[in-house]
Amino acid sequence: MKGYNFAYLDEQTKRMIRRALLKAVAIPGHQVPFGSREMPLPYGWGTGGIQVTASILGAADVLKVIDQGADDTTNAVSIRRFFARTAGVATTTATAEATVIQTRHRIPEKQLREDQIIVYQVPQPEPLFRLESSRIETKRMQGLADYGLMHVKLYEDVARFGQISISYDYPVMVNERYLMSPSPIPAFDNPKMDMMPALQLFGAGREKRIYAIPPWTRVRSLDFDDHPFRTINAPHPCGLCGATDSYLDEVVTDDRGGRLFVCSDTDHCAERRAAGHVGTDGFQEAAE
Amino acid sequence: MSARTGFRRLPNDPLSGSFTRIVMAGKGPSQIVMVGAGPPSTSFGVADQQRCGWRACAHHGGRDDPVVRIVIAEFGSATRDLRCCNPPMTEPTLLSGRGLNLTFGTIPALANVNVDLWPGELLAIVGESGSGKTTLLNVLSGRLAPDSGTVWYRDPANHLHDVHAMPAPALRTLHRSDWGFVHQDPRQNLRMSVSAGGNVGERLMARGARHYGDIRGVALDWLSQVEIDADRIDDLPRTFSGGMLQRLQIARTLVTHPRLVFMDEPTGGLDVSVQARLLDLIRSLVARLRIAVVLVTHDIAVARLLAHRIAVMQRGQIVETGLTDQVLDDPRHPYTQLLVSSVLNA
Repeated sequence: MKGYNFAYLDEQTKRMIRRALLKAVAIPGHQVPFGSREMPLPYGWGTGGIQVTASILGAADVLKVIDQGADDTTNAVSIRRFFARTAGVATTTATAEATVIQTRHRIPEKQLREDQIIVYQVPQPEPLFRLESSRIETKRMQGLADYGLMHVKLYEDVARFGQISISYDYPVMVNERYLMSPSPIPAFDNPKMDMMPALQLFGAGREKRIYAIPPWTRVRSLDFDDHPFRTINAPHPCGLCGATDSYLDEVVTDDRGGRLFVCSDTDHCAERRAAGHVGTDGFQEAAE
Repeated sequence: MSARTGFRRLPNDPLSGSFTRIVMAGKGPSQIVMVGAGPPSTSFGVADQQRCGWRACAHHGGRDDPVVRIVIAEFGSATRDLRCCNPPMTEPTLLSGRGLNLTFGTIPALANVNVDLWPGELLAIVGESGSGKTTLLNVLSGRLAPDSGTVWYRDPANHLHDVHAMPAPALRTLHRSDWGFVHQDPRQNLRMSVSAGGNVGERLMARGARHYGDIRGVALDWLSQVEIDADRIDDLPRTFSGGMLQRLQIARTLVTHPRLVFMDEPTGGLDVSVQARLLDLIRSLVARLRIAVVLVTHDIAVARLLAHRIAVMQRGQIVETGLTDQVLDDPRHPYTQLLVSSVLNA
């Protein structure tokens, strides 16, 4: 620990980020610029999320890090170990025990509580980015709530595919004011953001933006009256725990077309299996 | 022979809505020619000219014709100010520029320009390159702030707005609902990576339309109005020809039924036959929807075909303004005379 400030960042940087966070919470969904620092990992690996986590972490916090729903993938393991070393905080893989959850690509299946904070890693904070190339123009559109263009994208989807085909990073309207990118979580997770009891913070390190959704805030996924928003999930139960209500990953098991659908949230799956739920492939997995 | 031409819609219109074109020749015995009243061209004699206008008595086939009498009576008042003829200027103006000045460095782009636009009227601004036409259009539409002067816009609730003092959100709302802008290059306005239907529907969605079926229905209707095949609705604009792109831009602009449209050289860069069809389309749409248009063009023929009134610009000043035929048939300012005489007659 010697030679390191608590949670890696120096105090002035943390103050700067906390000020940005306060502003972000005060204006739900609005992107607040901040002076993103270089972090000991490449852009795109969670530099924004890690800076937000470092700024809000206290000595008594319990940290959980998820990457694509899993606690045991490279990104999750290294960020968890990073904070265990630089802040000495307790870490966990159990959603219920955590006070701060840093996540990439998923929201845990278990309903979050008011005493928890979830930090999203965001690659591209601007939802209009692919539609309007000028950042000055997108800022103006955000400022004037001029969001017709986003609906043009949805229109194009329906015209071409017969349905809205956005499966992740599905644009949402926060508090009926700001159009927001929910980070690349599956559209399946969008309804969890609506009226969530936990504080949601978003950090984009390369793009130098922070935004937030305070607890109990309305978050609405964009849609058409005659093409309402719907979640997409594989039409299977989890192969290991038999869950039918969780988001599934498709895992290729052999080169003869073998497939296994499993919960993307590993903690959720493990908890269910510990409680005695078994899926169709569960025994086979246990034998290996 | 100098001739004065006027348009006048008659009260208790015996010509059932058609406009009557009157040409009055100069001194001495001359003729009134009516176009659009019954027989295409009717001639009759005219008496003396008086200082404050024309006093005329009509003889049509040797008998007193009620239609002609009305025309003559109307014409007496119309000639006093030929500029104020069509459409009737009894209504308050829709858009007014007052004392507009703008310099780019030392170049005066606008010098004390006053402009008025009445509802449903098509005003052409003509002049050579660099005379300030497009600058005036940008200032009138609020896209460019003048150094001094005011642009007034009257909204449907009859409230006057200073366009350049409006808050940005209000001006933007105006631009995407009540106003429209047609660019010379349709690629500036259209989204080239979005299908034709999406392009037409964007303004509707920006205004809050959230029903896909309705939006698509309106888009289909507008594509047919601008003569684009319905089965092209899902094609990208980059597969369209230049004329089709321009028509698509017009559909995209008019879909919200704006009251006022700014057009910057809408027919520039198109070949003559495509131009003719497009002009025809603009003329019929504008007349049917009763849209007021400020049209910038360097093409006198376009102005002659479309415009009710014309304003001639030179070095940032409006040197002459009046009814289109009046200005083009009887130009007073030397520059206008030069401009008109430079046009090749095809």
